[in-house]
Amino acid sequence: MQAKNFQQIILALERYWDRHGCALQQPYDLEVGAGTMAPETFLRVLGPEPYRVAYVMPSRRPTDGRYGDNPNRVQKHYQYQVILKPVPSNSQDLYLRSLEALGIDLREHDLRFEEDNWESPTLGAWGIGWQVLLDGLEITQFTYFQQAGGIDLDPVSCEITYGLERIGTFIAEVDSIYDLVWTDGLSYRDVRHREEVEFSKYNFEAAGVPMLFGLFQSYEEECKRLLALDLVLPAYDYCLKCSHTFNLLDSRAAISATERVGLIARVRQLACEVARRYVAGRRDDVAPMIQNPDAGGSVDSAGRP
Amino acid sequence: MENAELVVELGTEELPASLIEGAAQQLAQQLVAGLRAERLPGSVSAVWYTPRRIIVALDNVPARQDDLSETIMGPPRRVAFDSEGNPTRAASAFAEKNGMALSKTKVIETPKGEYLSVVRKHKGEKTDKVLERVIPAALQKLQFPKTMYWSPDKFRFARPLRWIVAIYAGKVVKFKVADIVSSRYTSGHRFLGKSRIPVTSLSSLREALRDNGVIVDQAERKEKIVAALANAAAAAGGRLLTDDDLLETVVNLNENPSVVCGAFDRRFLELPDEILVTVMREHQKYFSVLNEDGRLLPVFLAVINLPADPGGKIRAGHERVLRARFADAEFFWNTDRKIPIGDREASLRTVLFQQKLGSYFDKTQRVVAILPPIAAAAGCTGEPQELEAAAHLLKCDLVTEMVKEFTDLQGIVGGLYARAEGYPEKIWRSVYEQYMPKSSGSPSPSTLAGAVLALSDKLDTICGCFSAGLIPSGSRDPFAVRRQGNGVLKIMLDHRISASLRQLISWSLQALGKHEGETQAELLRFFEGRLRFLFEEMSLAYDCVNAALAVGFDDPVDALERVRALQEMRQEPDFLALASSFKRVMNILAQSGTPPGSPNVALMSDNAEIGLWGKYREILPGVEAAGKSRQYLEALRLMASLRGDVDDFFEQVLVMSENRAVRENRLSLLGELSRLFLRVADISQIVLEKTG
Repeated sequence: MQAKNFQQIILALERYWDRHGCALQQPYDLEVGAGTMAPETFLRVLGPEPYRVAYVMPSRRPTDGRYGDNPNRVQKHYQYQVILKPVPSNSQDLYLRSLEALGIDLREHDLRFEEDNWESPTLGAWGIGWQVLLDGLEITQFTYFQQAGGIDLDPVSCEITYGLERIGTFIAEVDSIYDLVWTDGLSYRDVRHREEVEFSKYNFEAAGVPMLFGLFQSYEEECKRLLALDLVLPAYDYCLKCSHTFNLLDSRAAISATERVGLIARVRQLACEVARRYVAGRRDDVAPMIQNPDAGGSVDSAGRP
Repeated sequence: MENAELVVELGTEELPASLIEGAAQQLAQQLVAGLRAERLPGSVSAVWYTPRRIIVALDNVPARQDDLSETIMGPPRRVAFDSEGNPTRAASAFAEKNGMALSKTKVIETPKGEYLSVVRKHKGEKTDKVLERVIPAALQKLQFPKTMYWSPDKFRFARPLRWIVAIYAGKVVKFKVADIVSSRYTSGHRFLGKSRIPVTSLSSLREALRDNGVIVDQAERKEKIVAALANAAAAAGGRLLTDDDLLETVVNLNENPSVVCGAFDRRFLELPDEILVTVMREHQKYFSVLNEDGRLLPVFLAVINLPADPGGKIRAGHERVLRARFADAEFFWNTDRKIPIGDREASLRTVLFQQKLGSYFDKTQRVVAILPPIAAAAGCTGEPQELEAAAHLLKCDLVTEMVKEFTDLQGIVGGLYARAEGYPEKIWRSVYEQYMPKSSGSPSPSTLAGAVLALSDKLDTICGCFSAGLIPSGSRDPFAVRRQGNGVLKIMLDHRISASLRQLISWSLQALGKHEGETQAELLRFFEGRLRFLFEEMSLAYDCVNAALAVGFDDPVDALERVRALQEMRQEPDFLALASSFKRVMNILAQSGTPPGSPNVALMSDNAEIGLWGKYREILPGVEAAGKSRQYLEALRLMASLRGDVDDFFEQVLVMSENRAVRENRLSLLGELSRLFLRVADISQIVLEKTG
C-alpha cells in the first residue's frame, strides 16, 4: 500500500516493524540530536540481552536551523529508529522490505548502500555501515554498532535510522519538506514552519550563553552525583541535557575550537560512565531479560516472534 | 584422478568501493599460498568482484597431494651409539618419540657429520579435504583498514559475509565461517535476480549470475560504463569530463550498470564550474559534460545499478536531489560574498589549526613573516605587497559556508571569491593553487608566486608539527606531514627554487618561536627521507641517489642535478672504473685516516705518483669552476679523465710505504682526490653491476 502522506509513512513503518517483532516505543521526552541517543538505543545495545525496538525520534540539531527558509534543512527533524539485537542474517532484506511496505518499487528505482561509517564522539560510539541512497537521495543510515559508551558490544546491534522528511519528499516527489502533506488539509509547513523560525532565532541569536554554560556545569555535576548513587537512568538524562546544552552553545558560536574538544570529552566521559554502570547493573540483575544466556533472542532471524 | 577447478565466491553485504579490488587480489594470493603450503599447485583463472561478491577461481588443482617423505634428524652417531656400536638411550628415545621401531632408524651422512634419522612417509591427502582447511584459513587472513564483527563467532571482515560458494571439481567443499556453511548456492542482483541459485563451476556461476542481473567481470562493467558515458555525453551535445577515480568507484558500486542523463537549471551555470563539478562528483558521484570550449553543459550523468530507467523516474529523482544540492551551493556562494574575503582574516582566530600551534590566524601571521626571505631565496621579486596580500587571504575561506560544506574545495573557494572580487590574477591564483601539488605525481602551483606561498604554508605546517611533537611514525601521520614534505620538495624541484633546507627550516622555526636544536636535525632527516622517496618516484637509480645524497642534500635542486649527472656518467666505462678505484681510496682513508696538509711534491718519487698529482692539479680549476656553475656532468667528466692516472698509481705505487713521511704524503694525495670527488658525490656508492 502506498503511503500517501507524512503520517502514513510513520504508520506504515510502525505496522511493518510491529510485524517483525519490535517493541514500538514512543519518542523519548528529552531533547536529543539523534534517535541513537535515546536510552532505548544507547543503553539497550549494551549488554547481552536481545532487544528489538522501533520509535519516532524528533531530533534537534540547532546549527542546522535555517529560519524556515531552506527547503531541506531544519533544526529539528524526525527520525524513525529501529534497533535489531542481535543482528539477524537478513537485516538488509528486512530493511528493503520496509521500503516496499511504504509503496516504493525498488525495481523502478536506483537504490544503493554506500560506505558510511557512523561515529559519535560525544557517546563514545561507532559502527560500520552505509548511507542508503534512493535515486541519489540519502534516506537512511544503516549501521552495525561496534561500540557504545566505549564498550565493545556483544552481541552487535543493527541500527536503521530513516530520515522521515527525506522519504516523504521522495515519495511525494516534492522539492521542499514544507510542501509535504502531513495529513489531508494540513502541510508540514502548517505544522512546523513557525517552530523553525522561532527556534532558529533562539538557537542562533537569543539563547542565553552564560545561563547555558551554567546549566552545562550543573547538569554535569548532577549526572556525576546520580552516578555515585547508582541511579544510572536519571544520570543518563543529565548526560543528554549536557549534550543538548553543548549543541546550543555551539549554535551560538560561544565555544572556541579549543574549548570544543574539552566539552565533548566531558560529555563523552559521562556517557561512558553511564554505559559502564548500566552494563554492571544488568549483570547484577543477571541480565533479567535472558532466561538462558546461550539461547539468543526470542525471535528468529526473519524476525518472526 | 585429474586436475580440476576450484571456485570460491564470497557473498557480502555491500563492500566499500575502494576496498573491493584489494580484497579480491588478497583472496587469490591467500588461496594460492595456502594451497602451495599444502604442496598443491594451481593457477589463478579468474579474479572478479562486485560490491556484493568476490570470486576467485584456480585452475589445474591436482586432486590429491603428492606423497611426501620427510627425513627427521636425530642425535649424532657418536651420541646414538656407544663405543661398542650398540644403540644408546638417546637412540631409542629418538625412535620412540617418532613412533618408530629402532630398526627403522638409519645413520645418514650430512655436511655436519653422521646422524641418526628416520624417514616418515606422509600419504598425500585428498584435495577436497585440504581445501576444508585452506579456504577458511585464507578468509581469516584477508586484511582491511577497518573491520567489524556481527556474528557470535566474532569473525572479522569489512562487511558481513552472507553466503560462501566453494566448489572443487564440481563438488561443494564444506566448511563454516562466520556462522555460514559453504554451499553451491549463489545470489543474484538485489532487485533483478533470484537468491539460492545452484552452480557447479566458474562458467556456470558466471552465466547464472548474468541471467540474474549481475555482470561479475569488473572489466566488462567498466567497458560498458565507459561506452555508455561517451554515448550519453555525445547525445547531450558535448564530451565527457573524464574522471578515472570516479570511474573506478562506480565500477565497484554497481553490479549491472547503465547511465542516465539528467539536466539542471541553466541558472546554476553562474556558479564556478569547480563548485558544480565538485558537488556532482563528491556528493552524488555524477560525471560532468563539457562543451567544445571546455565549459560545463547543464547536464549530468549518473551511473545506476539497473539496466535502464524506462519511466524516467530515476532521472527525475536524481535531478531533484541535484537541484537541492546546487541550491545550497548557490545560497552559500551568495551569502559568503556579502563579506569580502579579505575581511575574514580576524575570524580565523576562532579556527583551531592545532592545539599547540594556535589558530589559523596565528598560522597566517607566521606565513606572512617567513614569506619575504623565502621569496627572495626563490628569486620571486617584484610586487612583494601582492604576495603578502595573497598570504593574508590564504586561509580566509575556512570560515566561509562553502568550505564548511565542501571541505575538499578549500583553497579553491578562496581563490574563486578573490577572483570574483577582482583581485589580480597573481593573487587569486596563488590562493586557488595553495594546496598543490596534491600528490607527488601531480602538478605544483603554476606561478612562482603561488609556489612560494604554497611552500611557505607547507613548511610552517611541517616545522610546526615537528616542534609540537607530532612527528609522523609508521602509519601515523594525522597532519599528512609526509605528503606536505613531498610537496615542499616537489615545488622546489619543479620551480627550480634553489635554496638551503637548513635555512628554510630555521626561518620557519624562528617564526614559530622555537629553538632549532634537535628539531632542526629531525627535520633534516625527515626531508632527506622525503627527497629519497621523490627521487625513487622519479625512477632515478638508487645508487646514484645514495652517492649524491651522501655528500649533502641541503639544496634539493642541486642534489637532483648531481643525481642526474651521475646517472648519465654511469653509462661510461672510464667513470665506472674510476668509481671502483674510488672505493679503494675511501677504504684506505677510512683505515688510515687523512693526514692534514697538502702533499709535498718533493716527497714524491714514483712517476705514477707525480703523474696523478700533476693531472689532479691540471683538472682542479676546471672541476671547481664546473662545480660552482653546477655543470656537474662536466665536473664528473673531468674527474673521469683521471682514470688512467689513478689506475697507474694503484698499479705502481705502494701507498703504505715503510717510510712514514712518504706514506703520509701519499695518503694526503688520496685525501686531496677524495675531497675533489666529494664535491659532487661519494661515487664509491655507485653499484658496478647495473642493477639499479
